Amino acid sequence: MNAFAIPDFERQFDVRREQAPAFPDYRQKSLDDLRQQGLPGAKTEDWKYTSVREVLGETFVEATPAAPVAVPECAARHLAVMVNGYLNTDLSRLEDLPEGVTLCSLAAARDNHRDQVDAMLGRVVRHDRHPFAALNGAFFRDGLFLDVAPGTQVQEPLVVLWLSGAGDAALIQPRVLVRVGEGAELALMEQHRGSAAGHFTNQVSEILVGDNAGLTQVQLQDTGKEQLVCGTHVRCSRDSRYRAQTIDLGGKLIRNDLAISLDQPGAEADADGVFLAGRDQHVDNHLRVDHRAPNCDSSALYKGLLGGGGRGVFNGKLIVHPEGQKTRAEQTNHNLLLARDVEIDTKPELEIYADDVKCSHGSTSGELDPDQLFYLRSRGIDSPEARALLVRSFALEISERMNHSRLRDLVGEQLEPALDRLARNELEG
Amino acid sequence: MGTGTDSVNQLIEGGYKHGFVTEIDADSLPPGLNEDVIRAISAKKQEPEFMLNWRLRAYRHWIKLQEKEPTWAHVKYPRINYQDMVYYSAPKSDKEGPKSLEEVDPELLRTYEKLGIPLHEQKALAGVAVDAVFDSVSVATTFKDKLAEAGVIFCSFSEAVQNHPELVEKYLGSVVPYTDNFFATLNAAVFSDGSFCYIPEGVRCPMELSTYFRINALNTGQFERTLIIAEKGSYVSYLEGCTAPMRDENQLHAAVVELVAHEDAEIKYSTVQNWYPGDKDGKGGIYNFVTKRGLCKGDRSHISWTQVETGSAITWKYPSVILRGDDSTGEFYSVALTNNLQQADTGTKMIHLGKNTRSTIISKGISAGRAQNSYRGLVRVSPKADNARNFTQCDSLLLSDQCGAHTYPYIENKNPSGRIEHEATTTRIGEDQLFYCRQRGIDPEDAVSMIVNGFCDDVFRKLPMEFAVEAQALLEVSLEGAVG
Repeated sequence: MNAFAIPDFERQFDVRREQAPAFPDYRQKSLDDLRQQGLPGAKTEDWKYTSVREVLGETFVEATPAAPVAVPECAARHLAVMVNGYLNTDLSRLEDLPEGVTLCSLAAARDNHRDQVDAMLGRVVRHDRHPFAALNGAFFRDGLFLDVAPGTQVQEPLVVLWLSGAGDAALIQPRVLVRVGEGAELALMEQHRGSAAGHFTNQVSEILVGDNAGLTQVQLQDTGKEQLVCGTHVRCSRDSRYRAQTIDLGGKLIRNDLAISLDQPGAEADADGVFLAGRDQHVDNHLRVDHRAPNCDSSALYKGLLGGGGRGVFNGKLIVHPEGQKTRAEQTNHNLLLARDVEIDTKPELEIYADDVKCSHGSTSGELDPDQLFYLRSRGIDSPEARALLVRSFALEISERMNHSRLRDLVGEQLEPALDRLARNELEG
Repeated sequence: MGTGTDSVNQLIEGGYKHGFVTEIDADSLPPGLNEDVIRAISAKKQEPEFMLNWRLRAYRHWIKLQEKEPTWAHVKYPRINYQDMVYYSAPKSDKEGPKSLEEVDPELLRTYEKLGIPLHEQKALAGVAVDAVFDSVSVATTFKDKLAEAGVIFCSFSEAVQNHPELVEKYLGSVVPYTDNFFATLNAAVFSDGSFCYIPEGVRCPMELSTYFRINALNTGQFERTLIIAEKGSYVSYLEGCTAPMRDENQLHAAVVELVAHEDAEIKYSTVQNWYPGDKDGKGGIYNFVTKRGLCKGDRSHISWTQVETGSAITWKYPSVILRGDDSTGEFYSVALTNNLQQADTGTKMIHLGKNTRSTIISKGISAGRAQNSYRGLVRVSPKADNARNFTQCDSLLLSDQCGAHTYPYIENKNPSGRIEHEATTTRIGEDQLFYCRQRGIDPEDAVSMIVNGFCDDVFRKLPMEFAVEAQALLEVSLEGAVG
């Protein structure tokens, strides 16, 4: 078992070179990118409000395929179970997947779908502004490959469960490649379930949404004592639709980088999220939408709920390139602070280089509106109940924006109890 | 506006006359910066020891910062060689300027005409040697008497150092310490002059203070320093800058402005900045790297910044308010217009420390040509700032397909009772708005300037009246040729 401290990446890379890993050129390039920018510190603008000092100070073991600590019940018809970043086919249910869907481990895809892997790997993510993505590029072992052939419709959501095994603190670095072919449609739900072990997951997903294709992607993260840095990089082709929902139910450290690039005319992207953070939890959502072609629309709505001791970060960056004429884009972030001793840091940014655009963003933060509480109480609803109601209605706006009903139910099953727990804790505390 | 509006008006219109006053002492130091230069500056100004020590501390700190010139702003400029500059020179002598108006850039003259500036003033502004003695000197003296009667101290920084060293020592660097940032540190080490203003307890300053009629301090050069102190219960409104583009030899301007408002005091600071923005290709033009900060020290104090920024090749400026006193309020109203190759990175910081503190930010950015215009702001509510309230609105208007408008707001809330709202929009002028105006017989250029003026109305209304009128004319001039 290999001890791995992240700042020691140069030496680790040399050790691995002797084992002749796959994709040597790509790994070398990733290493160069990482060396170039260095690991994030307090002065790194993108990491200003999120400290990874603890992650960088830890010595991990590199994750190997293992048995999961616990497999939660999941009624999904299509289920892929990833343990420590490796596909576990025994626990997965993939036999019902419609024809035209290819799902396998990245290692298997390298042997069987080499061309497609080569066409995607490192082609979507920008390492030069994501140090952890570069780290992943230099060291990933395996991951997931998912291809939906042109015209294929996957009606039932495909659920990907990310679980971890027991044992020493492991460094889990999976790479995910997803391609939704022309005119195809996919509903994907990824669920990260943390264990009590102090693992660190550094995941990178590269996603291509083809012409006139649709992808709905939910990422539900409930990571407990584990720390997660999750980069999702998406490129959208002509007239495609990409809808993302990020649901963070809390974790010691969660950092999401969702980067969406609208590359061709007519592409649409919606990115919504809700994040909960309580005591000793830190949730950071970085969203970046690049409008690189005319007539693209994007919208984003993120809602944060912070309980005592919780910390939330939101950064939304909307960039309209000179080619992005006739862009319509908006970003909104609302935050509810439910107790003292919380912190929310938000930074909604606009960078606009084209003139025929309509762009806006808004952000608010504050506690529950006393007038609304009063209104409910004047109708005989007691204070705890009234607060719980308001907390729910605040957060559930997100899941109501989900137009895929099956996914909405799957999200609601987990989000609603978490909201009740948060509201209750705050009332007791 | 109370007493003296007419005279103030006169003065504002006549203000540019003071542009280039020749001082008797006309020597300058060799280029470069070292401790000897600082000692020399201090000696020339016959400063007390505490000043010299302060400058030296700043200089020694600046040495440490040398490799850390800020790069985070959304602006581009070639590296500045700080050893190449002259850090003390008496005002530019007549010989260096153009000999007559014929030698002046005709573009500049055209602008003066548009703004309605009389010929002899044009000369003064363009730096043409003028030997007339202007009558407003006596007016200024009259004002000085009036201020003295009220107990208001309003003089150049050098005079303040000589006549009121105890006040200077107490407040200098109390809001913007010499360690604050690269440019503020440089300013602290080498600042040449500036304005000093002290309003005693309970006094409502009888007139709007303007740098115009403080004749000798006008040509303070690149490193200006302003310090305004409003004692308990006092009020002052301060106007800075002018609407006419000033000819200036100094490319880098690194000024510092410090405001201190005690209990129940109110300071209103208005700026119209229209320094030379460089020609159409971005050649020349001023770099305006300014640190402005106000401290609401006492309870219920109030500081408001209003700025109209149309000039300079690069503007790097974040007038801020530290809301330390309970129930204190801060305001920031800004119009920033960039045309051609101008770059502006401007905004504000509102730091809420006291209870029930409130702040308002209204920022309007207009980009035309190939300009880049950024709003950058920070709103911070500290854990103890119960019931803090902030409202921010920043809107951008795009007038060409090659310009950029950017918004970088930082919002940090550590107190659940703090309520923060931020909204921003970016659009161009609507076709339907233009069509409506044209249909009523208004030509396109007038229609655009009308719409732009409407866009900025929230800010203009906060300006003192004379300034507001000039600011509108200024926008029209600055936008000229920007509309197709």
